[in-house]
Amino acid sequence: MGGAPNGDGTTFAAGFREGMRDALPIMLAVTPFGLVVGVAAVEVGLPVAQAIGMSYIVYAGTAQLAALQLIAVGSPVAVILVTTLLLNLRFVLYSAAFAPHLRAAPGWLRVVMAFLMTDQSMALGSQRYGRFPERGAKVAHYLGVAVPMGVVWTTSSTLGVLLGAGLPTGLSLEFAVPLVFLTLWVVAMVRGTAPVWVAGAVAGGVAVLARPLPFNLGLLVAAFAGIAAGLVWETRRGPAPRPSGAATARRGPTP
Amino acid sequence: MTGAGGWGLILAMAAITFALRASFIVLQDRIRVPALVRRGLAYVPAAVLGAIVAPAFVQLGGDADVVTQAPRWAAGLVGAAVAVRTQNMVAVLVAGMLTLWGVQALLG
Repeated sequence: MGGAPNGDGTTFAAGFREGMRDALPIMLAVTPFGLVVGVAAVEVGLPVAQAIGMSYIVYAGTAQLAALQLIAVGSPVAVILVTTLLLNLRFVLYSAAFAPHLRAAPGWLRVVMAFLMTDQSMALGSQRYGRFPERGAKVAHYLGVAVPMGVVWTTSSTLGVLLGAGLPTGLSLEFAVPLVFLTLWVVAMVRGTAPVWVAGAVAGGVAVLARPLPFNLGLLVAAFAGIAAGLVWETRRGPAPRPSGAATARRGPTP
Repeated sequence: MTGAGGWGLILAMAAITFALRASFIVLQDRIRVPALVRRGLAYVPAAVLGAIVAPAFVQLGGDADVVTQAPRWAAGLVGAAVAVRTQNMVAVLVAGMLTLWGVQALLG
Protein backbone atom coordinates (compact mmCIF):
# COMPACT_ATOMS: atom_id res chain seq x y z
CA MET A 1 0.00 0.00 0.00
CA GLY A 2 2.62 2.54 -1.10
CA GLY A 3 -0.06 5.17 -1.62
CA ALA A 4 -1.40 4.90 1.92
CA PRO A 5 -2.04 8.53 2.76
CA ASN A 6 -1.14 8.20 6.41
CA GLY A 7 1.94 6.09 5.80
CA ASP A 8 0.55 3.33 8.02
CA GLY A 9 -0.45 0.30 5.99
CA THR A 10 -2.24 -1.52 8.82
CA THR A 11 -4.47 1.40 9.75
CA PHE A 12 -5.21 2.08 6.11
CA ALA A 13 -6.18 -1.54 5.41
CA ALA A 14 -8.40 -1.65 8.50
CA GLY A 15 -10.19 1.55 7.56
CA PHE A 16 -10.59 0.40 3.97
CA ARG A 17 -12.06 -2.93 5.09
CA GLU A 18 -14.47 -1.22 7.45
CA GLY A 19 -15.62 1.03 4.61
CA MET A 20 -16.19 -2.00 2.38
CA ARG A 21 -18.20 -3.70 5.11
CA ASP A 22 -20.33 -0.59 5.60
CA ALA A 23 -20.94 -0.30 1.86
CA LEU A 24 -21.87 -3.94 1.26
CA PRO A 25 -25.67 -3.60 1.64
CA ILE A 26 -25.58 -0.42 -0.45
CA MET A 27 -23.74 -2.21 -3.23
CA LEU A 28 -26.52 -4.81 -3.36
CA ALA A 29 -29.08 -2.03 -3.62
CA VAL A 30 -27.17 -0.09 -6.27
CA THR A 31 -26.97 -3.11 -8.59
CA PRO A 32 -30.59 -2.86 -9.87
CA PHE A 33 -30.16 0.89 -10.38
CA GLY A 34 -27.04 0.27 -12.48
CA LEU A 35 -28.87 -2.36 -14.52
CA VAL A 36 -31.76 0.05 -15.13
CA VAL A 37 -29.43 2.82 -16.34
CA GLY A 38 -27.62 0.39 -18.65
CA VAL A 39 -30.87 -0.86 -20.17
CA ALA A 40 -32.14 2.72 -20.58
CA ALA A 41 -28.96 3.74 -22.41
CA VAL A 42 -29.44 0.97 -24.97
CA GLU A 43 -33.13 1.72 -25.33
CA VAL A 44 -32.59 5.38 -26.29
CA GLY A 45 -30.22 4.18 -28.99
CA LEU A 46 -26.76 5.01 -27.67
CA PRO A 47 -24.06 2.85 -29.27
CA VAL A 48 -22.80 0.15 -26.89
CA ALA A 49 -19.43 1.87 -26.31
CA GLN A 50 -21.10 5.14 -25.32
CA ALA A 51 -23.76 3.43 -23.24
CA ILE A 52 -21.03 1.69 -21.23
CA GLY A 53 -18.57 4.60 -21.31
CA MET A 54 -21.09 6.99 -19.79
CA SER A 55 -21.14 5.06 -16.52
CA TYR A 56 -17.33 5.10 -16.31
CA ILE A 57 -16.77 8.75 -17.26
CA VAL A 58 -19.80 10.60 -15.88
CA TYR A 59 -20.38 8.19 -12.96
CA ALA A 60 -23.57 9.84 -11.67
CA GLY A 61 -26.61 7.58 -11.91
CA THR A 62 -29.40 10.10 -11.40
CA ALA A 63 -27.94 12.54 -13.92
CA GLN A 64 -27.29 9.72 -16.40
CA LEU A 65 -30.86 8.49 -16.17
CA ALA A 66 -32.19 12.04 -16.57
CA ALA A 67 -29.93 12.67 -19.58
CA LEU A 68 -31.09 9.45 -21.22
CA GLN A 69 -34.72 10.45 -20.76
CA LEU A 70 -33.97 13.87 -22.29
CA ILE A 71 -32.16 12.26 -25.24
CA ALA A 72 -35.20 10.05 -25.76
CA VAL A 73 -37.49 13.07 -26.15
CA GLY A 74 -35.00 14.88 -28.39
CA SER A 75 -33.88 17.63 -25.98
CA PRO A 76 -31.12 20.01 -27.10
CA VAL A 77 -27.64 19.42 -25.68
CA ALA A 78 -27.79 22.66 -23.66
CA VAL A 79 -30.86 21.45 -21.76
CA ILE A 80 -29.16 18.13 -20.98
CA LEU A 81 -26.05 19.89 -19.68
CA VAL A 82 -27.99 22.36 -17.52
CA THR A 83 -29.97 19.43 -16.11
CA THR A 84 -26.71 17.64 -15.32
CA LEU A 85 -25.44 20.75 -13.55
CA LEU A 86 -28.59 21.15 -11.47
CA LEU A 87 -28.95 17.49 -10.58
CA ASN A 88 -25.33 17.31 -9.46
CA LEU A 89 -25.14 20.66 -7.64
CA ARG A 90 -25.57 18.67 -4.43
CA PHE A 91 -22.01 17.41 -4.92
CA VAL A 92 -20.76 20.91 -4.05
CA LEU A 93 -22.46 20.54 -0.68
CA TYR A 94 -20.92 17.09 -0.17
CA SER A 95 -17.53 18.36 -1.32
CA ALA A 96 -17.65 21.14 1.27
CA ALA A 97 -18.77 18.70 3.96
CA PHE A 98 -16.05 16.17 3.14
CA ALA A 99 -13.16 18.57 2.59
CA PRO A 100 -12.10 19.00 6.23
CA HIS A 101 -12.15 15.22 6.79
CA LEU A 102 -10.08 14.32 3.74
CA ARG A 103 -7.32 16.86 4.25
CA ALA A 104 -4.80 14.12 5.07
CA ALA A 105 -4.71 12.94 1.45
CA PRO A 106 -2.25 14.27 -1.14
CA GLY A 107 -3.58 16.31 -4.06
CA TRP A 108 -3.73 13.51 -6.62
CA LEU A 109 -5.67 11.29 -4.23
CA ARG A 110 -8.12 14.10 -3.51
CA VAL A 111 -8.77 14.29 -7.26
CA VAL A 112 -9.48 10.53 -7.30
CA MET A 113 -11.71 10.78 -4.22
CA ALA A 114 -13.62 13.70 -5.75
CA PHE A 115 -14.24 11.70 -8.91
CA LEU A 116 -15.54 8.75 -6.86
CA MET A 117 -17.92 10.84 -4.73
CA THR A 118 -21.48 9.51 -4.46
CA ASP A 119 -24.61 10.10 -2.38
CA GLN A 120 -23.76 6.87 -0.62
CA SER A 121 -20.26 7.90 0.38
CA MET A 122 -21.65 11.14 1.81
CA ALA A 123 -24.30 9.29 3.78
CA LEU A 124 -21.94 6.64 5.19
CA GLY A 125 -19.19 9.17 5.89
CA SER A 126 -21.54 11.39 7.86
CA GLN A 127 -22.45 8.37 10.00
CA ARG A 128 -18.93 7.16 10.59
CA TYR A 129 -16.45 10.00 10.69
CA GLY A 130 -17.30 10.96 14.25
CA ARG A 131 -15.72 7.67 15.30
CA PHE A 132 -12.43 8.28 13.50
CA PRO A 133 -10.36 10.84 15.33
CA GLU A 134 -7.50 10.29 12.92
CA ARG A 135 -7.80 11.70 9.42
CA GLY A 136 -5.90 8.94 7.64
CA ALA A 137 -8.57 6.49 8.78
CA LYS A 138 -11.28 8.68 7.25
CA VAL A 139 -9.47 8.68 3.91
CA ALA A 140 -9.14 4.88 4.09
CA HIS A 141 -12.81 4.48 4.99
CA TYR A 142 -13.85 6.84 2.17
CA LEU A 143 -11.90 4.80 -0.37
CA GLY A 144 -13.20 1.54 1.13
CA VAL A 145 -16.72 2.74 0.35
CA ALA A 146 -15.99 4.52 -2.91
CA VAL A 147 -13.78 2.07 -4.82
CA PRO A 148 -16.05 -1.01 -4.54
CA MET A 149 -19.03 1.27 -5.24
CA GLY A 150 -17.39 2.34 -8.50
CA VAL A 151 -16.72 -1.27 -9.45
CA VAL A 152 -20.30 -2.32 -8.70
CA TRP A 153 -21.79 0.67 -10.53
CA THR A 154 -19.77 0.22 -13.72
CA THR A 155 -20.19 -3.57 -13.69
CA SER A 156 -23.95 -3.50 -13.15
CA SER A 157 -24.61 -0.80 -15.74
CA THR A 158 -22.36 -2.61 -18.23
CA LEU A 159 -24.40 -5.76 -17.58
CA GLY A 160 -27.56 -3.72 -18.15
CA VAL A 161 -26.21 -2.55 -21.51
CA LEU A 162 -25.24 -6.07 -22.56
CA LEU A 163 -28.44 -7.74 -21.37
CA GLY A 164 -30.53 -4.94 -22.87
CA ALA A 165 -34.24 -5.19 -22.42
CA GLY A 166 -34.10 -8.91 -21.57
CA LEU A 167 -34.27 -8.18 -17.80
CA PRO A 168 -37.42 -8.79 -15.75
CA THR A 169 -39.13 -5.48 -15.03
CA GLY A 170 -42.06 -6.76 -12.96
CA LEU A 171 -40.10 -7.13 -9.71
CA SER A 172 -39.63 -3.37 -9.07
CA LEU A 173 -36.02 -4.10 -8.05
CA GLU A 174 -35.13 -0.47 -8.66
CA PHE A 175 -37.19 0.26 -5.53
CA ALA A 176 -34.20 -0.94 -3.51
CA VAL A 177 -32.52 2.43 -4.11
CA PRO A 178 -35.08 4.60 -2.27
CA LEU A 179 -35.14 1.99 0.53
CA VAL A 180 -31.39 2.43 0.97
CA PHE A 181 -31.75 6.20 1.14
CA LEU A 182 -34.67 5.79 3.55
CA THR A 183 -32.46 3.81 5.94
CA LEU A 184 -29.65 6.35 5.75
CA TRP A 185 -32.09 9.22 6.33
CA VAL A 186 -33.68 7.56 9.36
CA VAL A 187 -30.27 6.71 10.83
CA ALA A 188 -29.02 10.29 10.30
CA MET A 189 -32.07 11.65 12.12
CA VAL A 190 -32.19 9.05 14.93
CA ARG A 191 -28.53 9.64 15.73
CA GLY A 192 -28.70 13.40 15.20
CA THR A 193 -29.54 16.31 17.48
CA ALA A 194 -32.94 18.08 17.46
CA PRO A 195 -31.96 20.58 14.73
CA VAL A 196 -30.76 17.69 12.56
CA TRP A 197 -34.17 16.09 12.96
CA VAL A 198 -35.86 19.37 12.00
CA ALA A 199 -33.59 19.75 8.95
CA GLY A 200 -34.37 16.23 7.71
CA ALA A 201 -38.12 16.49 8.28
CA VAL A 202 -38.49 19.94 6.70
CA ALA A 203 -36.43 18.90 3.67
CA GLY A 204 -38.61 15.81 3.20
CA GLY A 205 -41.86 17.77 3.39
CA VAL A 206 -40.67 20.52 1.05
CA ALA A 207 -39.34 17.94 -1.42
CA VAL A 208 -42.76 16.29 -1.69
CA LEU A 209 -44.43 19.67 -2.33
CA ALA A 210 -41.69 20.91 -4.70
CA ARG A 211 -41.49 17.75 -6.82
CA PRO A 212 -43.33 19.30 -9.81
CA LEU A 213 -40.51 21.86 -10.27
CA PRO A 214 -38.53 21.23 -13.47
CA PHE A 215 -35.02 19.73 -13.64
CA ASN A 216 -35.28 18.18 -10.18
CA LEU A 217 -34.92 21.70 -8.73
CA GLY A 218 -37.25 20.53 -5.97
CA LEU A 219 -34.37 18.52 -4.49
CA LEU A 220 -32.16 21.58 -4.09
CA VAL A 221 -34.98 23.82 -2.87
CA ALA A 222 -35.89 21.19 -0.27
CA ALA A 223 -32.29 20.61 0.81
CA PHE A 224 -31.68 24.33 1.36
CA ALA A 225 -35.03 24.69 3.16
CA GLY A 226 -34.01 21.84 5.48
CA ILE A 227 -30.55 23.29 6.15
CA ALA A 228 -32.08 26.71 6.84
CA ALA A 229 -34.64 25.15 9.19
CA GLY A 230 -31.86 23.37 11.09
CA LEU A 231 -29.90 26.62 11.45
CA VAL A 232 -32.99 28.55 12.57
CA TRP A 233 -33.85 25.85 15.13
CA GLU A 234 -30.28 25.82 16.42
CA THR A 235 -30.28 29.62 16.77
CA ARG A 236 -33.72 29.75 18.37
CA ARG A 237 -32.52 27.49 21.17
CA GLY A 238 -29.84 30.02 22.01
CA PRO A 239 -26.16 29.77 21.19
CA ALA A 240 -25.14 26.14 21.23
CA PRO A 241 -22.12 25.19 23.36
CA ARG A 242 -19.89 25.01 20.35
CA PRO A 243 -16.12 25.10 20.41
CA SER A 244 -14.77 27.99 18.39
CA GLY A 245 -12.10 28.12 15.72
CA ALA A 246 -10.35 25.09 14.31
CA ALA A 247 -12.39 22.48 16.16
CA THR A 248 -15.56 23.72 14.52
CA ALA A 249 -13.94 23.93 11.13
CA ARG A 250 -12.94 20.30 11.26
CA ARG A 251 -16.20 18.96 12.48
CA GLY A 252 -17.87 18.73 9.07
CA PRO A 253 -21.13 16.87 8.68
CA THR A 254 -21.01 14.86 11.88
CA PRO A 255 -23.37 16.27 14.47
CA MET B 1 -27.28 11.71 -30.48
CA THR B 2 -24.77 9.09 -31.59
CA GLY B 3 -21.20 9.00 -32.80
CA ALA B 4 -18.91 11.94 -32.03
CA GLY B 5 -21.82 14.11 -30.82
CA GLY B 6 -22.69 11.48 -28.25
CA TRP B 7 -19.12 11.35 -26.95
CA GLY B 8 -19.02 15.14 -26.78
CA LEU B 9 -22.16 15.18 -24.66
CA ILE B 10 -20.81 12.47 -22.35
CA LEU B 11 -17.49 14.28 -21.89
CA ALA B 12 -19.24 17.59 -21.19
CA MET B 13 -21.50 15.91 -18.61
CA ALA B 14 -18.43 14.35 -17.04
CA ALA B 15 -16.55 17.66 -16.88
CA ILE B 16 -19.48 19.43 -15.20
CA THR B 17 -19.98 16.62 -12.71
CA PHE B 18 -16.29 16.38 -11.82
CA ALA B 19 -15.96 20.15 -11.32
CA LEU B 20 -18.82 20.08 -8.81
CA ARG B 21 -17.38 17.09 -6.95
CA ALA B 22 -13.86 18.48 -6.86
CA SER B 23 -14.79 22.03 -5.85
CA PHE B 24 -14.03 21.97 -2.13
CA ILE B 25 -12.13 18.68 -1.81
CA VAL B 26 -9.43 19.68 -4.30
CA LEU B 27 -9.36 23.45 -3.79
CA GLN B 28 -10.11 23.61 -0.09
CA ASP B 29 -6.98 25.49 0.85
CA ARG B 30 -7.91 28.28 -1.56
CA ILE B 31 -11.57 28.63 -0.58
CA ARG B 32 -12.61 30.42 2.60
CA VAL B 33 -15.79 29.00 4.07
CA PRO B 34 -18.00 31.51 5.94
CA ALA B 35 -19.01 30.54 9.48
CA LEU B 36 -22.70 30.26 8.61
CA VAL B 37 -21.94 27.80 5.80
CA ARG B 38 -19.76 25.77 8.16
CA ARG B 39 -22.62 25.52 10.67
CA GLY B 40 -25.04 24.63 7.89
CA LEU B 41 -22.89 21.69 6.80
CA ALA B 42 -23.98 19.78 9.91
CA TYR B 43 -27.46 19.60 8.38
CA VAL B 44 -26.46 18.65 4.83
CA PRO B 45 -26.78 14.84 5.15
CA ALA B 46 -30.19 14.77 6.88
CA ALA B 47 -31.58 17.50 4.59
CA VAL B 48 -30.30 16.08 1.30
CA LEU B 49 -31.31 12.54 2.24
CA GLY B 50 -34.80 13.74 3.22
CA ALA B 51 -35.10 15.61 -0.08
CA ILE B 52 -34.10 12.48 -2.02
CA VAL B 53 -36.21 10.03 0.00
CA ALA B 54 -39.59 11.66 0.61
CA PRO B 55 -40.65 12.19 -3.05
CA ALA B 56 -39.71 8.59 -3.86
CA PHE B 57 -42.39 7.39 -1.46
CA VAL B 58 -45.00 10.17 -1.45
CA GLN B 59 -46.12 11.72 -4.72
CA LEU B 60 -48.86 14.34 -4.71
CA GLY B 61 -50.65 15.66 -7.76
CA GLY B 62 -52.23 14.44 -10.96
CA ASP B 63 -50.34 11.21 -11.51
CA ALA B 64 -50.88 9.97 -7.95
CA ASP B 65 -53.49 7.22 -7.93
CA VAL B 66 -53.89 4.94 -4.94
CA VAL B 67 -53.31 1.61 -6.67
CA THR B 68 -49.83 2.56 -7.86
CA GLN B 69 -49.04 4.61 -4.73
CA ALA B 70 -50.23 2.30 -1.95
CA PRO B 71 -47.44 -0.29 -2.28
CA ARG B 72 -44.82 2.49 -2.02
CA TRP B 73 -46.51 4.06 1.00
CA ALA B 74 -46.75 0.70 2.75
CA ALA B 75 -43.16 -0.21 1.92
CA GLY B 76 -42.01 3.23 3.09
CA LEU B 77 -43.85 3.01 6.41
CA VAL B 78 -42.68 -0.54 7.12
CA GLY B 79 -39.14 0.33 6.00
CA ALA B 80 -39.04 3.44 8.19
CA ALA B 81 -40.31 1.50 11.22
CA VAL B 82 -37.70 -1.23 10.71
CA ALA B 83 -35.02 1.42 10.19
CA VAL B 84 -35.87 3.18 13.45
CA ARG B 85 -35.84 -0.10 15.38
CA THR B 86 -32.83 -1.86 13.83
CA GLN B 87 -30.83 0.80 11.93
CA ASN B 88 -29.95 -2.20 9.74
CA MET B 89 -29.99 -1.70 5.98
CA VAL B 90 -30.38 -5.35 5.01
CA ALA B 91 -33.38 -5.69 7.35
CA VAL B 92 -34.95 -2.57 5.81
CA LEU B 93 -34.35 -3.84 2.27
CA VAL B 94 -35.92 -7.23 3.01
CA ALA B 95 -38.91 -5.82 4.89
CA GLY B 96 -39.48 -3.03 2.35
CA MET B 97 -39.30 -5.22 -0.75
CA LEU B 98 -41.51 -7.94 0.79
CA THR B 99 -44.08 -5.30 1.75
CA LEU B 100 -43.98 -3.77 -1.73
CA TRP B 101 -44.50 -7.15 -3.42
CA GLY B 102 -47.19 -8.17 -0.90
CA VAL B 103 -49.28 -5.03 -1.36
CA GLN B 104 -48.79 -5.12 -5.14
CA ALA B 105 -50.10 -8.71 -5.15
CA LEU B 106 -53.07 -7.78 -2.93
CA LEU B 107 -54.07 -4.92 -5.23
CA GLY B 108 -53.72 -7.18 -8.26
